[in-house]
Amino acid sequence: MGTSTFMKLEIESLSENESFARVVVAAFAARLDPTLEEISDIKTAVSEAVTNAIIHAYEDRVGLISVRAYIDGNVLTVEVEDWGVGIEDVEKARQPLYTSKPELERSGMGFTIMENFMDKLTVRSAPGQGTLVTMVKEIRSKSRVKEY
Amino acid sequence: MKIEMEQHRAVLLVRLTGELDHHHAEQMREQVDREIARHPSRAVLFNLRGLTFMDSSGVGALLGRYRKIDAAGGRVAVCEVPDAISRITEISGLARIIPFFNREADALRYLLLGVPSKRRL
Ligand SMILES: Nc1ncnc2c1ncn2[C@@H]1O[C@H](COP(=O)(O)OP(=O)(O)OP(=O)(O)O)[C@@H](O)[C@H]1O
Ligand SMILES: [Mg+2]
Repeated sequence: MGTSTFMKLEIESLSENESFARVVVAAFAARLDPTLEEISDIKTAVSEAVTNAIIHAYEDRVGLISVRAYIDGNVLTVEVEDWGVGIEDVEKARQPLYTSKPELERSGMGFTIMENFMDKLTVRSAPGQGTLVTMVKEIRSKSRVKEY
Repeated sequence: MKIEMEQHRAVLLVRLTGELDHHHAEQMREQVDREIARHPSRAVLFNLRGLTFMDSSGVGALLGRYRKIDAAGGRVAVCEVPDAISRITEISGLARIIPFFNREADALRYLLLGVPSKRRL
């Protein structure tokens, strides 16, 4: 008997899919027995990445967003990929408070939140080609903590 | 997302229930702004007790309302932040910009005492 270690979800870049994407990833991560706080962290980070793909990558058009998650031991890896406008300067984009869309009441905190709520964040992007956001989080689950 | 608004003396009390993400922030922005447009410099209190989720879109929508009301001479406060979203209000800096209160009564007292005195003239 094996345990599933991979999932993939493809969605259109519509705002109603934000809650769908974060709930699916959280349900997948549930097999690692995360705490409520860890579930909340994962949901928030996924929501940030998917929302960025909807708002920034595709702007006014509808494109595809791929959400993938992997489990290796007690480590969860989440990838959110789009094939939208891409990011010219990733280092600048990742800085707290940087936003290219202040007029939309964005505050430039998305990447900072992903960094804080997950253990590791990698952003690969090319202008005109798209963006791949990879987030890694070790789950220090309730039951495992008790075992030691 | 449920948005309930009621008038408590000079304060517009906005109770938010559900998930304040990009999808629902739009709706909150529209409804609250429409209400504020009728009384530009009133005080507004956001009670977040019913929120189960919030991300940077929610932070942006709350900050946007704060900036607008503040610029018009009004006051804004937030109360009853649930555990599930307390971390995002800290990390995003929201809690350092808008006055936060644990109890609704304390927030109301702050807003009512702080309402510009010209209202009473
Ligand atoms: N998937 C993406 N495609 C294209 N550009 C992106 C993408 N994700 C982020 N960016 C760029 O990086 C910037 C910073 O992103 P971040 O999520 O930190 O802030 P924001 O989305 O502007 O504001 P907030 O997340 O606080 O609402 C964005 O303003 C945008 O210019
Ligand atoms: Mg963002």
